[in-house]
Amino acid sequence: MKRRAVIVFLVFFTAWPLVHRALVAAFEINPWKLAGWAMFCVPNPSTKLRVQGVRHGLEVQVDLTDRDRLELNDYNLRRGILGALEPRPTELAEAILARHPELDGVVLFLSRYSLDPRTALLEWEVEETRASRP
Amino acid sequence: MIGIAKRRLSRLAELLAEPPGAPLARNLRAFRFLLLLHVSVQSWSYVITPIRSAHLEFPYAGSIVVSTLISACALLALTRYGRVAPILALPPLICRLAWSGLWTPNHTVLAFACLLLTATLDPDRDDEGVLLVQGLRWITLVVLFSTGLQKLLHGCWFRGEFLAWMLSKGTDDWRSTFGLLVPASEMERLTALDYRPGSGPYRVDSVPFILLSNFTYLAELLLPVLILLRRTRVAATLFAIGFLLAIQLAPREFMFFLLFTNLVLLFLPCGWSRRLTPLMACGYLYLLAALARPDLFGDFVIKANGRI
Repeated sequence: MKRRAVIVFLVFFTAWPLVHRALVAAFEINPWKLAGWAMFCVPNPSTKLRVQGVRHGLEVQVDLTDRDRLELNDYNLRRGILGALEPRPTELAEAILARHPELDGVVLFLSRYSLDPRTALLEWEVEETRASRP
Repeated sequence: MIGIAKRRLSRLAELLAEPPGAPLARNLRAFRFLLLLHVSVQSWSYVITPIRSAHLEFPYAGSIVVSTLISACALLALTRYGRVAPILALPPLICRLAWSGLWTPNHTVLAFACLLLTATLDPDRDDEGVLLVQGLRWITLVVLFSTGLQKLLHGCWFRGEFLAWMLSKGTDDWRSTFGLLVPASEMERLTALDYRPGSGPYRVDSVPFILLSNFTYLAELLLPVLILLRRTRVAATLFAIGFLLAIQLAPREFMFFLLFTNLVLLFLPCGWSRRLTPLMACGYLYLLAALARPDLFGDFVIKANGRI
């Protein structure tokens, strides 16, 4: 019984780096994290999250509350590791909008850089998530 | 087909096992102590330099309790009750893993995997001792091979792209380690690059630099095979330890170096794993001292703190 359990564990341990690579390719999870032994393979792809408010059709700066900052950082850190396995921040944008009654809408810009191995140039991907009042 | 696979697997198991008569149990007991010492020192590192993040803030008192319990288990591993030490160390380590969640360093996962095996299998029982050494050795080879394979699959090491990136954006340690292989003009260009889209190219026109980059992942891919084969085992193991030390000069992840060296030492014959235990223990105590008083002991070995 013990022998079988150890063998199953070792098979999982052996297969995991390949599963991890597939998850990186499919969902852009962070190669440095989740024990895929891919640290130092590519630049550590941290994400950045920027908030823009919308009022009367114009883009305005948002005076973020401590709660906003905490939730933004929390999402940003999770997204930086889980990639597309973490859902888009629609609920977060709605929560920020609910805390700022002076705004008509909120746009979250999530950006993430990577190094293109073919060109060796830095690439940025930007994802927009919008929330607006009905 | 199944017959061939079975024969190959039993050949692999045979290669991973120790020849009859080798001091297996004493080696494994020494490894068990060093593993617990590793987990203990890493736990104390969170007490000495807590992570400054609202999302990762370990309860300070909890960190102290966890570190104390694991340290007690490390001491227990030196007594005749050593068999229960890794079993008792598992719950506090699981608490630490639960606190760190997604941010758990890969090295902690490696230590956890080894601890699971040492908690499950008794080195003093012949059948379990053999399985334990086979399991620990297999884990070592998988990790070493995977680091090379991942570099190959991600494709940022063929022309030194990753190293060029670290020269540009990494710490001074990267520049002082690899800068000698790069012409001054290239170094100037790399350090001037910013984070704007299209910045680059992160490549260096230097043959030694590109050779070193390719040598790194090739060594990680080939060393596990050479360590596995009995004929090349000793030379490859010694080379692997030197290689591990060399590649830590830039990221300064000496916590990992000690853990992985202890794993690699399990391949050496004549009980070297056990003989080097005092030296390894001194290494851990030095790490702990440097963590507590970097002003006295220097911060050379504690830059990464085992947190990658």
